[in-house]
Amino acid sequence: MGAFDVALGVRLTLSGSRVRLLMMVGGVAAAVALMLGISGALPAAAERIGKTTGRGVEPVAEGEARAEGVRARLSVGLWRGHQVRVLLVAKTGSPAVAPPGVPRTPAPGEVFVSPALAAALAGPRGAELAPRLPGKVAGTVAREGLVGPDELYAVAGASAGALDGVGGFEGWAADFAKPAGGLFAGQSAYVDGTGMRQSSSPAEAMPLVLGLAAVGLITPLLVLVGTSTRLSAAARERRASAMRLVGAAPRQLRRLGAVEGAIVGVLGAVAGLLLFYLLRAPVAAAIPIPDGLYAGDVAPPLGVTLATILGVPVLTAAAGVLSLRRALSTPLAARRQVARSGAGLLRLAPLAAGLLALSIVYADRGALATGAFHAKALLFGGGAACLVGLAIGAAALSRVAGALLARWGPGLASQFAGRRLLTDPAGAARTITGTALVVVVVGWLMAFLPMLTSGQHEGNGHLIGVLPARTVVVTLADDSDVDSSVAGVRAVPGVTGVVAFREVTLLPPGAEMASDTDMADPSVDQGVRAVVADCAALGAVLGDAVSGCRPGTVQRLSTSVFEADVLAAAGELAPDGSGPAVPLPGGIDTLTLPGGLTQDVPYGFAVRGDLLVPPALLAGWDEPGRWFPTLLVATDGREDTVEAVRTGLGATAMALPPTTPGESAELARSESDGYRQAALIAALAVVLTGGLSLAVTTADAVRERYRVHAALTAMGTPARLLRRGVLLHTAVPLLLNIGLAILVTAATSWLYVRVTAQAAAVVRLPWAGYAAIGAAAVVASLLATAAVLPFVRAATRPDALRTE
Amino acid sequence: MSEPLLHATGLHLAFGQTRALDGAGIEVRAGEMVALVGSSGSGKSTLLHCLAGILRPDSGEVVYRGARLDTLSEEARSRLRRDEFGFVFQFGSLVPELTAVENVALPLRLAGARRRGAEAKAREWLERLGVLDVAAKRPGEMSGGQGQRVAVARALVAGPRVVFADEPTGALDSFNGELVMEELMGAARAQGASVVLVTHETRIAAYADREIVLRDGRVTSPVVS
Repeated sequence: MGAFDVALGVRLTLSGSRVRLLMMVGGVAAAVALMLGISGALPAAAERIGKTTGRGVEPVAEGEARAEGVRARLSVGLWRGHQVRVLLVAKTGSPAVAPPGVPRTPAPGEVFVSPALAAALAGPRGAELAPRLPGKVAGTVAREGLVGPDELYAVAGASAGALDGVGGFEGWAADFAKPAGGLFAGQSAYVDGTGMRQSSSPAEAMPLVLGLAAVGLITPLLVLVGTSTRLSAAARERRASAMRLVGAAPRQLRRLGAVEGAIVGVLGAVAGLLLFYLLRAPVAAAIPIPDGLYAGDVAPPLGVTLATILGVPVLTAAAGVLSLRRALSTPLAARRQVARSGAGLLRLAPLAAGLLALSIVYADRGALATGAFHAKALLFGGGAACLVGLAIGAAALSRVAGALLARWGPGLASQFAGRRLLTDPAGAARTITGTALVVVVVGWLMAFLPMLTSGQHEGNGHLIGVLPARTVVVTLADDSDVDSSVAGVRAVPGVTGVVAFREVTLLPPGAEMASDTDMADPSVDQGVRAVVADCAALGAVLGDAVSGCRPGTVQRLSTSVFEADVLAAAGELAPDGSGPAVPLPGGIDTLTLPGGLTQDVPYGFAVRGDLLVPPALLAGWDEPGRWFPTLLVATDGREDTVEAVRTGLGATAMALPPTTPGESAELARSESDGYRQAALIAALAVVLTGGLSLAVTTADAVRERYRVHAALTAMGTPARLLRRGVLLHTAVPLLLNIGLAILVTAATSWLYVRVTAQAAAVVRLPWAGYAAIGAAAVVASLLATAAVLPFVRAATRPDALRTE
Repeated sequence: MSEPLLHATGLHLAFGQTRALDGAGIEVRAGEMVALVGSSGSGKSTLLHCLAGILRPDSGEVVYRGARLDTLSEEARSRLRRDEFGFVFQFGSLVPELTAVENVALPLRLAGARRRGAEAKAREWLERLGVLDVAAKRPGEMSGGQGQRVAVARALVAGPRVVFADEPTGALDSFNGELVMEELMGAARAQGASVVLVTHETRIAAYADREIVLRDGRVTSPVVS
């Protein structure tokens, strides 16, 4: 008997409407391909992060010597809008280890370059790049050493002495750090590819954020799988009821439903897998992420692939059984209307609970700062409850929409639509839910991604003022390179001024520098931060807005926001407490700088300074200061001049790419922009798929109700009234649900950013982005529904009433 | 003798290779009850649909109140069906999401009547046909006989000149079938409406003033009841 049921199920599925079978399989295939793509994007992101980590070495304690292995430093430059990364490697002993992607550790004067860098060197502007490499090209970096196919990357040999000094990111290791696997690519994960961020950077959360985004985007795809399987559910339910009337047992019908669903699932899963591999390469090439994306890196973990291929047929089989549940309970189910749906307002309770949880976290955000478990549980639990609540509550909203339409809507079309929604709100909500979830997920990404990688917040630094757009900021990795770098850039045509400065911390003589852990303790004397620079040279670079310069004297910077007592009192301070004394006359006058605190700052350029100290006062002081030496180079603003400045710096190791303010802001955004755009592309694909799903289910519903529509047409009901009813049935709950999704997104984003950002941070929600994604979702869904409307007329031809 | 309210001559209609009507013709006078009888596939329903303006014949004429019906546009025929005709189908074809009173009020609402007035009149008709107790129920919550009486109420509520009934008792038992026919014919007579009835049951056809027998798409004999 079991074999007969299976054979009958196969026969019924394959001998039914081919068009319907194709639509069901197509829907499942699209969902599977998208699921594999999204879940493959996470390992791709982790691979990128892991490869970058693998370039650096594990940082070791200062002074700890190594006799074996390598010493390395990553130097980052910029060329025509692209990052150029050079890993300087010096053997410290044997055996030497080769960095990833190269056959051996390069000797001093040798450079291995990526294929993209080799092409750039051979191109028309190659002469700008060549001087920046510390040696001759000796070979190519293979794929395993590269972040992406377009990366401009080199591995250069250096003598051990060349890497002496402070600054930059360097260390010793017996081996290069292995690229971390999985989503959480180690504590030293870097997002921006320079390898320069500290391990406590919030950018480490990127894989987690992308993971949550993937879950959010995959959920509507699972809804699509279920919806596709339920096409023509009413007709199949009638067939099942008829079979029950002639004696079929419920378990036989369950088998039939499961077989039908499983066939769709198997065919759809296989087709989806093929579709994924077919489209992977062209889609990877199209995603606008810096340095490109290797298609092969978009590889869902084997477990995920197996789970999808095996799990989807199980899911569709279950959906097939569920769609027959009325027929399973009674043979007369298809003849009798079910009781009115119980989609009450209680379904909105999880959403309300989620918002309440997040509000509690906000009210008690001090607990989150200390990492209290209950605070973290409420934060993540609240977010999850909001997502689940939106999904469950959609049916309740649809019911509300139905009640409003039926009671207050103008005309018969509203009554038709309203009554249909009241009768089956869950059916209406099913395909809308997925679209609403995508709006939430994308909205969260738009709010969080900039915060993760911007690195700057308003009030997060005491800036030296607003830099003119034509200024190149050069942050050197080695203090010994200052003089040669200044000479090199001064010789570049188009350069109108150069000033070098560094930052130091001034303390009373004999005082000790606060340790890193003490820096957040207000009871520990943090000293006074000072910028060591010549104010006249500063004025030559920053222009006429600099005023009040008194060369040779200590001055207070106008951008300082601290009213430290030491600034008003006379006395002496010393760099790091141990340098030459810097006399502070009482009543320090102020050097006025252009602008004030601003959020548009160069990438990583947050100079902290309360005082300006002339270099002459520190003559003979060899200590480099706590922070990297920096040059500000005023140019004529031409792109060729900016590139010539960078070329003029030669192979000097940089702590950060030499950039203009505009370029640095772009750099800060570029990686997160890449992830955001990739997420938006995935979200749009899911929204389009959801729209198609909506169109298919609407068309199916029209077909299922052909007799009713035909009778209405026979009675003289205008076709436009029927079409309006179909549109209202989709549009009103769609607008309600998307509107609620946007409000929930805004509320939860504000709460999340507020509790996780720094206290002084200004939270700016991307309202325009929310409106855009919400509008895109609504338009896509309505267009898809509208595309179905011509079928309403075809399906309502009165000759459908013929009984002969 | 007065002009016929509705008459058709020389109707031909084919569905693909199948010839459904092969020169059929009929006359219906005001207030007259006519039954179209014949075996399954004889063209009864197709003729009824042509008379009602639901189908357009391949050739022939359908004239209603002196004007050609078969040459009107779909919109004009739709308007005519809304304002002048009523319909009862074999399976009721009530809108499943609407209650009985909303279903009965539908023709009035389509004609532009306001909701309150339309539903009040609908209730009167439901009471007249003895099904006021199902006014708030949906079609799936009623028995077959109740559903068909609601359908009859819907067909008559707007005061049509002609009621077209296609196997109105086909899905009912004999008791309920007779009940429905009595309600239909009685109410129609009271309004002065004509009825064109399709049935294959002779006892149902007996309710009509005249029977017209069809075979193979042609009228073979008119029979006076």
